[in-house]
Amino acid sequence: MGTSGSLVCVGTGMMLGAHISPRSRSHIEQADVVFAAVSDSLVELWLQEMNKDVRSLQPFYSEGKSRHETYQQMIDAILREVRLGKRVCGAFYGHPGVFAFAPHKVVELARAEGFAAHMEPGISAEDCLYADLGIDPGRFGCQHFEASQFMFYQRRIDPSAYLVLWQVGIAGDRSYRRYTTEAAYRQLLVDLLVEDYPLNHEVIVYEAATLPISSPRMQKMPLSDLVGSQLYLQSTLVLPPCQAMLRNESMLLRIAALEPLSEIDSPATSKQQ
Amino acid sequence: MSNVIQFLESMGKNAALSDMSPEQYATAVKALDVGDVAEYALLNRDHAALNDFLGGRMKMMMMLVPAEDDEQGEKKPDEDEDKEQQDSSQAN
Repeated sequence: MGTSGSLVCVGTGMMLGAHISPRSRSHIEQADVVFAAVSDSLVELWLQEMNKDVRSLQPFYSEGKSRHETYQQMIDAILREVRLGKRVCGAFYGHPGVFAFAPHKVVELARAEGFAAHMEPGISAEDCLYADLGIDPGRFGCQHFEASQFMFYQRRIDPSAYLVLWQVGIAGDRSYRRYTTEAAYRQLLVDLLVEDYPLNHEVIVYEAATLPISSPRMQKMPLSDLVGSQLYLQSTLVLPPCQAMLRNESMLLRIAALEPLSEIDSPATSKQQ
Repeated sequence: MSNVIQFLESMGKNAALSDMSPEQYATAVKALDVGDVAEYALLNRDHAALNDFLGGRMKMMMMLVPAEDDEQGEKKPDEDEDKEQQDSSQAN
């Protein structure tokens, strides 16, 4: 087995020029071939300026074609070049390992075949979301789900924490062939959410900015308006908490039993919330 | 590198450029000397017009994760998911 080929999957960040790390950029510049999966056409043109052999993964997408097949073709295309002994770089928008199937899989497969393969992190849409919306996930906690997966499975959500649903523009798509789902699908999502949230609860539709000349979308609306709102592939739904956190009194008592009173100085012991 | 892409990259990585006033931005764009079409697109922060000018793709897809478990997706991409008995802890 030839193992001279190598693979690195890097994140380009979300915004052209602003987020790419020096290390990720050097991987792109030094690779024999770069495969690009980015969310903005101008970002793709920007990458093409960094390496003379940048191959877009966009042609693998096609409306009506299963995205499972698309992801497999991406993996096959990347691995083919690694097996030819080339230094291969996969450049993915945001973070290559966050809400991204192909980068994780192709690194795993390349390693299994004996090739050097690793991932370099990037600034993800999630990172931009925290900064733009002023959310600290550590304050109340933050749950993330792919929107369709959230609908397909019985999940236990905590309405005293943030809830973030990704790919909400295709929520409920079980065919993996659509690039949008209609209002009826979104109504089902709202029906599911009102089990835990009031219909008038203020939610946020978020889209990170991909160019330094554009602004993020941060549209607040009542949950009920989600059904009729314009949602795109890049849209994310954020639900702030609708309840205060409930103290776990029995656990606090058990913890207190372990510690002398003088050592207890935690906000959890005072009546906050 | 295209002057337009170079300008966008500079704006992205230079805090001073990203904080330009509208007047400073207009002055910086006009100084690029990129022609009327690109200049107008930049002044209007018009992504579609810039894309047309630079010859970028008309449509971009940005979905990278399936809702269902990856192994299932590889083995049974076309199967009715209703019939699947999955451990939800393995989902992506």
